[in-house]
Amino acid sequence: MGAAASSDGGPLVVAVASGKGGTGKTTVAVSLALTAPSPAVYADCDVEEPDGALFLHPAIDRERPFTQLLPVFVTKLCDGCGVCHDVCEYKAILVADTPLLFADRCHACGACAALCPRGAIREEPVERGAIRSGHRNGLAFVEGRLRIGEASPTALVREVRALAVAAGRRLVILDAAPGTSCPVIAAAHRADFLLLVTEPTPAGVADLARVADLAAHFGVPAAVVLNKADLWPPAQETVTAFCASRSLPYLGAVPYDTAFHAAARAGRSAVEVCSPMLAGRLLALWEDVRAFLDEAARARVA
Amino acid sequence: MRGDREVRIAISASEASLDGAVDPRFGRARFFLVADGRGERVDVVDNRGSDELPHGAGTAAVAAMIRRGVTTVLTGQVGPRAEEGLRAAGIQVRTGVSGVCRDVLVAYLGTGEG
Repeated sequence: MGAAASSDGGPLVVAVASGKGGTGKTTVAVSLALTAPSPAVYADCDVEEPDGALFLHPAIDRERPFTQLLPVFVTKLCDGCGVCHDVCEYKAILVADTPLLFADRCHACGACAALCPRGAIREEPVERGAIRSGHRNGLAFVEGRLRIGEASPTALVREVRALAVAAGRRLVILDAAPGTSCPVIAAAHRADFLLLVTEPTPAGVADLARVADLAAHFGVPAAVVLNKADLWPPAQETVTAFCASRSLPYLGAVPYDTAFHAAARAGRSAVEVCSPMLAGRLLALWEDVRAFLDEAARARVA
Repeated sequence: MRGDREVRIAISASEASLDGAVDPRFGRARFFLVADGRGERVDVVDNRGSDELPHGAGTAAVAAMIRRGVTTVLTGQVGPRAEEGLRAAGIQVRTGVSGVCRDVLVAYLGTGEG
């Protein structure tokens, strides 16, 4: 099976993204993961609201804290020079009478500690989330869960992605966050293939354009699937026209069906619960995705 | 520890002049007009560089206040981190301020700390 092959030994990485939230990323990602044609890992990279586990019900083998090194000030050594404030990209440090850290802004880059001329900053691990890993039958599972109130998910996404890539499966399915900002880029920018899930609404179409720009910027091959397609038929033409104008392959449409809602309410994935017709439509996506993965694998050889 | 500081009043300003309007934002104010306690000397701080900061404009503005020895800020609104920073630096803040900067300064100096 072509989708299983990757020339350099690493797995093939498929990221599922959408721009707009609520288009059906997780529905599609979970369905793809459950029906993957080769040994796969599903990684929930939407660490601010991970929900893949609600449908996959994985057995959790390991849970560990996600920590980052944050600066701690040794105030008796500080002479208030302000270098830490100046070098901080996010201005997470303010030097008043003594230095003050705005931890929610800190990206844990370490610049302040490395560059403090008085050695007045040391770093201590701070727990900012958790990583759970496990499996469901043959499917491996990884999930990042950012602690409530934390503002910086990107480093956690990177770690989840790295764990998924190192999981020893031939196929990695990354369920990315909505939007097009840093956490999405962290999941998607080095993917072999980006599956863009959109919906027939003005916001769905507008945000598709943004995430298509992201794919083009990072040179990641992308293709589009239109979910809830018959909710507003004119939008289907808008999406196909957009895809044509950007030379984005249009993989087709998944119809709107309340069976998806019923599946979600029951905590089950769509492929398990929906009618054979709907499940068949989701499965057929694999045929298209596989063609792109084969292409990606060939591109790696070249 | 800073009780004997000389009074310095910063107004967030949309123009580099007392005749312009108060800029309603603190962190991303266009300018700060920094006056002494008698309103005799007014320095202009160009804060337009805050447009270039994707994050941290508020804390960067607090740092500018500290560098200038500001004791009181008059502005429209202050973000949560800037507010905490100003408090840590012992700088007083009066928010909800609007109108022409000169009027605001005169009114403030007229009522003193009240």
